Amino acid sequence: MTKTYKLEGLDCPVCASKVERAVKAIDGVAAAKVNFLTGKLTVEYSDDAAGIIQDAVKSAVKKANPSVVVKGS
Amino acid sequence: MDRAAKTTVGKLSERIRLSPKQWRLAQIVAGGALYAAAILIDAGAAKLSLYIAALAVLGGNIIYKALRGVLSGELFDENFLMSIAAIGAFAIGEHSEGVAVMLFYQVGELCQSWAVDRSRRSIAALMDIRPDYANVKRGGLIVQVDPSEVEAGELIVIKPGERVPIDAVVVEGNSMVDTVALTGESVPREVAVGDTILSGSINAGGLLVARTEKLFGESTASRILELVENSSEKKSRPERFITKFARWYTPVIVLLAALIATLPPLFIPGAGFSEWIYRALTFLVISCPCALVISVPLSFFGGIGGASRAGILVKGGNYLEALAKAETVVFDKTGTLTRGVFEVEKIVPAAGVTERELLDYAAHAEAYSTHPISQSLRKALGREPDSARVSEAREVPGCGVVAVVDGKSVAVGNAKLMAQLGIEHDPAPDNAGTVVYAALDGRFVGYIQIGDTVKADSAAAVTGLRKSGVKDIVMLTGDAEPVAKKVAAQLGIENVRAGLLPEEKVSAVEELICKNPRSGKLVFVGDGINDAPVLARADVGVAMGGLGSDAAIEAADVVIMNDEPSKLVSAIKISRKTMRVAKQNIAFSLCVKFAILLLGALGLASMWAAVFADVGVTLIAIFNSLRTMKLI
Repeated sequence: MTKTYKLEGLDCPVCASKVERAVKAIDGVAAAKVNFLTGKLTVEYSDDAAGIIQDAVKSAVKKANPSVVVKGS
Repeated sequence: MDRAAKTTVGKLSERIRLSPKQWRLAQIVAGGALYAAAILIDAGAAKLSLYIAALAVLGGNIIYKALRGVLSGELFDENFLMSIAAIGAFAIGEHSEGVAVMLFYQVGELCQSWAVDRSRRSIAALMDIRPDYANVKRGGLIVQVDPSEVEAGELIVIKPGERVPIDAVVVEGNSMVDTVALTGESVPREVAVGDTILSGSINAGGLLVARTEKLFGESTASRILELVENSSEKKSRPERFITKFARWYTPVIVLLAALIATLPPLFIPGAGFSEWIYRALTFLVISCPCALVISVPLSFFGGIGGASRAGILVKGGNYLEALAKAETVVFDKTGTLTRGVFEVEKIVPAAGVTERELLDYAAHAEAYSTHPISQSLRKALGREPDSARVSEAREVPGCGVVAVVDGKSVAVGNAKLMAQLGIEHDPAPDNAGTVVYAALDGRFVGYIQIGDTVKADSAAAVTGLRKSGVKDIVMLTGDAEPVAKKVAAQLGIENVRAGLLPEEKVSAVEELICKNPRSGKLVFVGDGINDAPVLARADVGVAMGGLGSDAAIEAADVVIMNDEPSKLVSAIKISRKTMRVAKQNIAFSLCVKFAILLLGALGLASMWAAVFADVGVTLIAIFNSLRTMKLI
């Protein structure tokens, strides 16, 4: 499954790639991509992870960069 | 606590929670006040503790992030380098400088995030085609739902002023739709029952009920947005250069800083450590390649956004770059330079016959035919032929039609048909294109010249391209030479290749690419339907009439949403402007950075001035890059 989140407060491309790496490291995430220019995070994950994905993404992003806020798709 | 109380508390804490930006502002105000107080107070322990407090407020979270970064192995992290610079300044006794570095850094970050936000918003506004909701008819009710929840085949209602959410076919009502956000075309288009309306356009007239044809994700608006958003993945050369540069820049600067801090004090007699450490710290504060890393991709994204507003979809920065270097433009003829529809161009009656009579007989004789020629005759007639007047219509394959109209025998067809029937006729001039001759009861009554009309702005496109420096303009066509020559002459194109089979078009384009100097790019413009291999072979494949044609959007690198070839001129202008702005940003940022490095190394630049200059460069470059989205 694929889901897109909007990231607020994503100010520099370096932070974008940090966030991307953090989300990729989540269990059950097959692929993650942060588009700095549009401020969008696209996550591809396995069906098993569907239940936890929202919270997992939020906490991973927060850990990678506390000033970035994840908004729903 | 009971439930109600809990939610109230929740709401309260929500209300007082500050956004990251507000936090930063609070930090700056509080830290700035402490800093000012520290400067005003005379020397002593109070002054130092105020400096320390200011540093803690302004830089606390940055130092914390830096430590966490170091633990996870990120040495060249911006937070880390800033922390080293500030703490280092403190260590050599430059308290004021240390705090100033953090203060300016925070102000810079705030401005930068504001600038980035603003840029994102203005680019998003350019592509404001995403529908927010759909009104669906379900079980006799009209419900408002998210467009992605609508199935194909459902009935949707689009009220005046609303955006069409999903590609659909009108089943009730008629109206005008405004497609300016999709095509750049400001004249609204009339729609009635049976017409397709595309998502992203706006209902500018009456109420419409339509049956959805696709899912939201496959509709025009979603596809366009997806293409534009993903365009940043196909990078141009300047963008690739920046990515590489950024990878090396920080480590190199840090290394230089280390050398400056250690070598001169060791080898130059009389050079003090603290003086040279200070100079080294100046290097650290400008170690972020931010100005470049943000502004160059932003320039391209802005250009692509601006182009899409004009109805030109560019699928990547690399194509924008190639367009800027266009030296050869190859047009397909039919459907690109011409409208691709046959129309009556000229009616030439023989002596004693009126134009109207000639057209009337010809159109009636062809009344039962579905050939494009008969369609054009009917269209010229302006009404449906009266079939009661026609009897015994018989098609002569490859030649024309023989029929009885009003009791008279009418033959309509090419010169071969006239010869077959033994009818003497005045031949039309050679360059006339497609001609149908007509005979009434065995007597020649004149001919009608039919052709594919040239689009209104084709000539403007050709002159525009020449003016913008395109050296070679070529027309390819599968049609016969006389017809091709005629169109080319009308448009002022000298280089024509006629009678080509589809695969011969590919080899013609290949030949032209080989002839081209290496730097010049070849652009092929076609209708995107039958010319996918040519579109793929050209440096830039441009498809026309992309609106509503998935095949065209799929096959091309650049899609012109409406039917106007002159949009290519705008596309080239936008691409050149984008390249210019991107190069300006690179040159400007690099110059300022090197100037600061030089002054810093010579001990002529203070740390806070370096931060200030670095932030300034970033902001100026970001705003400069926004110029690309404004049309010329």
